[in-house]
Amino acid sequence: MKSTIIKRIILYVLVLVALLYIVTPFAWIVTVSIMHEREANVGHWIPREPTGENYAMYLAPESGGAEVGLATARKFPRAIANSFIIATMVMVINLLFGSMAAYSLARIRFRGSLALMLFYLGSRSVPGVAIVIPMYLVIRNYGLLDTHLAVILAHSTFTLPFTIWILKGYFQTVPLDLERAARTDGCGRLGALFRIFLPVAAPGMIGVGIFSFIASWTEFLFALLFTSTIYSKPVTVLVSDFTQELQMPFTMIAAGGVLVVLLPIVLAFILQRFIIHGIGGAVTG
Amino acid sequence: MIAAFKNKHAPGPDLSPPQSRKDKGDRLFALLINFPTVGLILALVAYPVLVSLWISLHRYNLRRPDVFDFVGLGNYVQILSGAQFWHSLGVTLYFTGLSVFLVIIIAMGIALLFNEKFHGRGVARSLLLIPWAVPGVVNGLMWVGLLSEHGAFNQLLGYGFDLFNRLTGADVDYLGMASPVIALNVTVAAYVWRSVPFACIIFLAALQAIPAEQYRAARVDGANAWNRFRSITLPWLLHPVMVVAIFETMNAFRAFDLIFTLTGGGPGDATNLLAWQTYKEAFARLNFGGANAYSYLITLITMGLAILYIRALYRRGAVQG
Repeated sequence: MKSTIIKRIILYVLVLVALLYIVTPFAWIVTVSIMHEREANVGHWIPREPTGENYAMYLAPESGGAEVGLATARKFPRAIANSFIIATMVMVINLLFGSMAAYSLARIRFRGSLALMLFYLGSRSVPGVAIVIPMYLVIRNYGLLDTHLAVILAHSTFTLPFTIWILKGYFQTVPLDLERAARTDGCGRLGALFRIFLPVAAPGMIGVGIFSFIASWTEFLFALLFTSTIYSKPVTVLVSDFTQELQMPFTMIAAGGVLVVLLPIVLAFILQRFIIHGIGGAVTG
Repeated sequence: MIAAFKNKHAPGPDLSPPQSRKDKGDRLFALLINFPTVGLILALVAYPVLVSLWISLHRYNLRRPDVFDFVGLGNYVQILSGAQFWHSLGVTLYFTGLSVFLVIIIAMGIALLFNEKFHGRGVARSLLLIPWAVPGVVNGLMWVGLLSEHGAFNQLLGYGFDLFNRLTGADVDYLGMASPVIALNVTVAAYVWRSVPFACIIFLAALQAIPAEQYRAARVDGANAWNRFRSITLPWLLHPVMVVAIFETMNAFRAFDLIFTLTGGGPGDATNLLAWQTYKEAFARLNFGGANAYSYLITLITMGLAILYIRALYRRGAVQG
């Protein structure tokens, strides 16, 4: 009895340590985001005079405030919108194309299925930086530079292999009988896939959906090279613009950082169950 | 593929016609619904890989875009005979090896903890996802603030461990010129922090899939916690560990956004990873020929590593077709 209590205490202490490791760096950014610049410069952890002016710069840039970084801050809402459009489209493409490919690999026996799987995984082992230059030339030839579509396509090619691999594992855990019944009832192949199969596989779909969304939202290299103006620039690229400023306004960067992370974190919190459950089938394969 | 097709049809009348037609239909349908993804990858990965090879065999600098001379393996010879590549390769291998190792150890520990039952487990698991949602660019800026000379980390050490600063005689600049080795290692730390949640998710999913009866049976047999971990948990985790190792190796090898905002390859050359060196070659020096040769070398190395991993997986019989 006594030993179980001690075990519980040790467990809670270890959990606390793990959480401190995970949360502390980000918690610091959050506190800096409500500091005045002079306080942040000396590395305080807890603001003595909290302020909302860093956020006001982004949310209502017309209200004035510091001059440094204001030009970048003005573009912020548009950049968030760009990121949202790009990440959402990447998610849709992943769910649509990814589920179709994964379904064929999980459910249909056909010659070349192993070769296809290796092709997908192999394409994933090509590092982005290795093909970004020729990819840039291809994108430029199609006149797609500085468009959402360029970034959407690039991100989709990088997320699809992972999506297919996860979904294939998940689909294999869905019972076969359902589709058989649907097919004998006269449902077509695509009908059986979209109306019967995918709704049952929804948790896995939600899992990979958020995976691809966050992968796209946080990606930087392709976004940096394929976009140049605020017409298509996502928020990761805009944030990196701060490093080009003569004097880095760190409290503003912190507030911007918090705003960038807000949406994916909220999504991850709401869908936490699906994220872990959704890839369960794949890793135990 | 043609041979396979012929083989299948060689017996002709021996195969019952409906069977064969169904197989053909299935295959066609399967290829059809793979088409969008295959097309996308062919256009945006396979084709650029070939273009990259072609450019890498030429002298091509955007400062003189009219010059496009075939130089054979000249760019490769130049790169492989210079010190820069080997330095960057060494830094990259160190960075990748240490990152993958630390990510697996830390993520495994946290996953084992968060798989236990305790109050607030759902909240803890949600908090765990925070670093994953932080873009690498923001992560880099964040660690600049944490690690610079008057940064928050030094302040924290000042509060608790004043001794540390007294011993070293000054605030330590973790990213400064004086300490290239420290700079590389804190870059690893920053990278690992952001990479842990993803690995954790995979480990947690794997832990939940272990049948509870196995633990019960082991308990009945009188196995202690360590033995249960060794004979049940570890074998079940072997496959996910390999999966994480593959993904993390690929990701660490292409680490770019963190370097962009955290160190810029510095101090000096201390964190000049291959991905960063390639970027500089292409977009600072505009030497596209050389940069594509660099690209190809990276691709070859990561492909080689991937093949090693996948072969190891197959040997363990953990991959299913």
